[in-house]
Amino acid sequence: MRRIRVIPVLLIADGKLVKTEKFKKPKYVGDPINAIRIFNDKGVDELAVCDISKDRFSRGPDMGLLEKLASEAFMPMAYGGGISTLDQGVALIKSGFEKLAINTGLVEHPGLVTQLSERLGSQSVVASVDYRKRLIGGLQQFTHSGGNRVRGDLVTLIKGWVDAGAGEVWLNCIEREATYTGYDIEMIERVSQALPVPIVGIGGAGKVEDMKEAIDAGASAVAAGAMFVYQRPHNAVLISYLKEEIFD
Amino acid sequence: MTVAIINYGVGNVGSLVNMLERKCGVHCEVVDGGAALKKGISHCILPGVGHFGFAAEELRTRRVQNQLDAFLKTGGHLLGICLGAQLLLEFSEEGDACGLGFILGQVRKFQKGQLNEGERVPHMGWCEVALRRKPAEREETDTKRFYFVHSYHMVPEKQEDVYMTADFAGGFTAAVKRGNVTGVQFHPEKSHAFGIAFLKSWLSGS
Repeated sequence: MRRIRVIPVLLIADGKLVKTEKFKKPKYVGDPINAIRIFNDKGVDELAVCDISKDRFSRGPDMGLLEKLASEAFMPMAYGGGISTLDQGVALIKSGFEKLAINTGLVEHPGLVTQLSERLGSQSVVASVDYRKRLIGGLQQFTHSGGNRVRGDLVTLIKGWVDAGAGEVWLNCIEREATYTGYDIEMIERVSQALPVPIVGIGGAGKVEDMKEAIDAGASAVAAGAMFVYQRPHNAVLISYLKEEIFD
Repeated sequence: MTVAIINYGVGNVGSLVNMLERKCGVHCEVVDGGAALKKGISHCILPGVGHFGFAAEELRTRRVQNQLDAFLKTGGHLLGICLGAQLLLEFSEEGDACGLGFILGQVRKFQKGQLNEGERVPHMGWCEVALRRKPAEREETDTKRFYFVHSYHMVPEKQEDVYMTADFAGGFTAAVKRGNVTGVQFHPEKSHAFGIAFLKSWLSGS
């Protein structure tokens, strides 16, 4: 029996905790340190923190804030947002993050994934892949918070990131984010069959059954944002976690 | 009580220090690799995340072996965490490099043939561990689980050095222990309540 990782995703913009919907309309939902303390008490499996501030590329990871967040966390932490150099990656791992999620850097900084995995081990490097389903052109990868399209076949691109050294792939379906419509099962199935590394489904989770479905389709772990920071039906801010554990 | 944590430029100590200080009630002192440990320090941690070959080179350059040899001679307790645990062994396939050799054996990569259906490398996630000791010595029977992130695993030469095992890839050594030297493949500092309980129990060893 395999215990399944369930990963809350926290978005940060300008030092504040926010939540978006389909990568748009960032809404203030609280203080990140407070959120991490709550998740500590709830004993979460793992946390992902993504900085979506507009200036993240020019300023790089906000180490002051991130050091505070990581040292508060008694659970595994992943970070994504504006990582463009090996030195930044090393500093993040040193500050207490276990994993580095590379998204825009996959394209903007060729060689970064390889450098990071050679220095830090491939288990520390995540290819964070945002994608959309387009009427014309099918599945397409995007960088820059969904702003820039990456040319090429999606599954071939993902294989390339894994060959370069990524030890895990986050499959983030942009049009499902915060919609509670369930994960993109078809895509999880395709990618997990094509690749040997752990695949994490992100985007669309609304209930435990959605997560089980993603696991059955081949995901090694599941992540969710809205489900853990909002209370439905009115999306009132309420930090929560699953009451039950999920097994394969 | 003060716990020394060796800094040799590899891995994180922030959450480890926080867990030890806030949850285990001890004071931490981060000590540079190679520097002599203060008298009276009974517990010392070798942390580490990353590539074995790179870390082993750092240990050599900083003369950490001498530092730890001297500490162990005083009867001190050493705990290696994750890569720090692997470095306690003699050799690793990761970078074909030599470790500290406090525990006889090697560090090997998980092979595809070992994996059961649904298992992937790197092994990442929470895993239950089983204590491997004589039944008479087994003090706790509760299920414990810890967070693991690794592609390589410890293969001690002597079966008696296996301290804990975990169920992945047909079973692997999750922790080693020989005398005052303990090494855990998992991250207690990232395993909340279970990690706190483990560290407390290690700290109570005298």
